[in-house]
Amino acid sequence: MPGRGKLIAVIGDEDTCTGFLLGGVGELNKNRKPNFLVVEKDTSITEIEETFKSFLARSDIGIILINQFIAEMIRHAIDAHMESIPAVLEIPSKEHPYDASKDSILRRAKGMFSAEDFR
Amino acid sequence: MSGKDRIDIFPSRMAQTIMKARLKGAQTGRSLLKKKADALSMRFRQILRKIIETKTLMGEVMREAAFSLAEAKFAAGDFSATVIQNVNKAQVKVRAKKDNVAGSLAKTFLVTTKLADFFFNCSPHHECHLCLFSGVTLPVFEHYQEGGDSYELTGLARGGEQLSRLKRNYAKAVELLVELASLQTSFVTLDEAIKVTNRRVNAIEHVIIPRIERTLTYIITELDEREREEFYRLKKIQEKKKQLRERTEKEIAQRLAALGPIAEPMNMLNEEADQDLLFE
Repeated sequence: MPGRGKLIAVIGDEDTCTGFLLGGVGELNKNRKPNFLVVEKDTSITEIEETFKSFLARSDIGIILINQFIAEMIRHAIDAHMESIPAVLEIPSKEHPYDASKDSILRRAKGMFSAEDFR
Repeated sequence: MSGKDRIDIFPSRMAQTIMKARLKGAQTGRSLLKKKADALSMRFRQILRKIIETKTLMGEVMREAAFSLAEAKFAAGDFSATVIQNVNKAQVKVRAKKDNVAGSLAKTFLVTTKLADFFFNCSPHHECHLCLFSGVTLPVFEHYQEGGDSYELTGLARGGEQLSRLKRNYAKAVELLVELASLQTSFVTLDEAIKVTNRRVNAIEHVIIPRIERTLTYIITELDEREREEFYRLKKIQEKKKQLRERTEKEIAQRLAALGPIAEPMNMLNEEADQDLLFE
């Protein structure tokens, strides 16, 4: 049963957000609320967590992209999210390259990990 | 746990046949479920491997995109603020499809192994929306474009080429990320499904089947005991009958001896004195 088009939300530093907005994922909904959050050095963790939770609650968001170093800050909130939609994807940022051992999705399959090797 | 009980049922031959049939059914069910769980785990591992591959690929794509962003910034100046302010409508959206399995449950199970073979060779997700897998609905994301490019005029002053390259890079990154998201969601769903199926397999194996077996042994013992009772009763009756017969024979022999050497059987015609009738 196909749903109405769902948005891709972004929680990241300025460069990540700019890039994705240029890619065309940004939107302001009816209440002028954006589907992205630019995280700077002085953004508080509570604010990030609030935005994340609000994105989860919104029914028109299908995917949430989040920089890995930000995901580390709100790790507990991400781990608590068990549903399959919206999908939470961790992406690397310019300073922090991708680290698979920190990814919350992959950690769930910890048991299978010993058999897999990172190629 | 004192779950060592059996199903309360009146022990009879029919009950025994019924229990046997139920045991057979439970065993078949368990093996089918085990097959399903195995198929699901295989698929799960496949998806996991694909996810790791895609994630590493994505890391590279993102690095490239970030690099082109730096280039564009160098050429066009800092456009981040303008970009962020000019957000209006999203061009790229995703659709979440949930694919269902058609057909009856029995057919699904029977076709499981065949389906499994078919889908092990099919490339996951982004092309085929037929992501059904032995009764489990897997969500799939497909991305689509809508509306015009709201940043068409951004690089007009300078750095236009870098900017358009940047946009293309990020669009490619978005596509890859959508595919990754599909993989991830099906990963999570499969994880749940595997847990549930394994739980059911264990339940059947450790609770249902032993219970039925216990009931079966109980019925058999009851029936045997009843038979033994019957047998014993029969034997006792036979003994009693034999004793009775022996006693009567002895008595007859005694009476015969008392009557004299030759004893004729009684002749009704010879008897004179009949008993008087009641009315005189």
